Amino acid sequence: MSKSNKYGYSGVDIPTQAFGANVGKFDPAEINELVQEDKWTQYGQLELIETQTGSAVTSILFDDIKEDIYNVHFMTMTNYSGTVLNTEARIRFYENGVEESGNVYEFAYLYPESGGTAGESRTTGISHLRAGYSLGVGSNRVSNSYQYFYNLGDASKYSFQTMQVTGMSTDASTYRTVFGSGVLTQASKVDKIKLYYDGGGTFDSTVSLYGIRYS
Amino acid sequence: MATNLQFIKSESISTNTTAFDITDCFGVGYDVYYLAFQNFNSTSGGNTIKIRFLDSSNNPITASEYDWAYLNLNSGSSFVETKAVNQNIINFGTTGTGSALMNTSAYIYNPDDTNSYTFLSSQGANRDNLEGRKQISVLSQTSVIKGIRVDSGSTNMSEGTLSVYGVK
Repeated sequence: MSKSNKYGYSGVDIPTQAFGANVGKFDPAEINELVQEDKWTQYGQLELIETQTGSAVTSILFDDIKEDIYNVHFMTMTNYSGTVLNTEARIRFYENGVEESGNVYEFAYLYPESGGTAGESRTTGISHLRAGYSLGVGSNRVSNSYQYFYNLGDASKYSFQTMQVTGMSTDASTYRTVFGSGVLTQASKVDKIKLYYDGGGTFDSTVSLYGIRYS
Repeated sequence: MATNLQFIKSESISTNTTAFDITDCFGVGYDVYYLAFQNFNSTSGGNTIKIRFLDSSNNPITASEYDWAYLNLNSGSSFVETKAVNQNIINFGTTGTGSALMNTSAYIYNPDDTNSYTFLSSQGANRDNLEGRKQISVLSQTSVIKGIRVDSGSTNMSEGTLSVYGVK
């Protein structure tokens, strides 16, 4: 509490302002100030950081992921299709601006298919995570996925991933889903996310990265 | 999938505890809530984290009316399916120590609705020997749910943040 002429109060103790607890009558300048201080209540905590649309590209790089603001990130990859059958959409992280390409990732994914039994993919030492794999080719065989990332900006923690994919498999008549988890097994600050294609071809997709505010 | 999240509250463990409650986070007008469990640990690794819902007085519901099923996806060993019915608590995740802890996104359905059971779906990535988890759970009561308890059994947690959002 402080005495000043603010928020519609005059000569009395001014209530402390915080998200979800704004008290008083506010002029536009005061609202702008509180927004900048992250003390103004405005809903919509799934905050878009950036959307990129790739057409015939080999990679998409998010180089300003605002890892100092968000502890949990959310990514959507829509209408992904590549030019080479049975390839992967891969993810790598950058630590302090340098792409981490060592075998320091682990993952465990399950891929149930409509035409067969579910398969397991797991490894304790590989150079990437996956955003999808064994993908088909063709405009009617696109895949869509989402990912959650945890601790990217926390240099004292491992960076974790969870993901789920829905789409067609290499067989045009077979539906596939993929879900699972991954981790970069290093306590490091991640400041960029790269989505790339492993097949020597190119891919199309629209990829959006969000931050979950107050996580 | 949510197109909008509305922040409700976030709390962190500040001292060693075996029971971490976040109260009055439900019952505020949403059908679906999103919960981000971040970096829950325990003072010994590989400890099971469990959860209970809190009733209208923010007391843990201990009736044997929880069911769950989950698949553990391990990076270094075969995947394991686990299920149980009529339990008094939900097995929810596994902690690590140091840098690799328990991180999970969960959706809670209908905690405000006295005509419906309360359902949970979640997906997590946990510990240093990576353990992913895909889970569903239900509390087969139609009572109002106001909050959630994170329970680490007999082993203390010293770290963990839980952020709660309404899905608009």
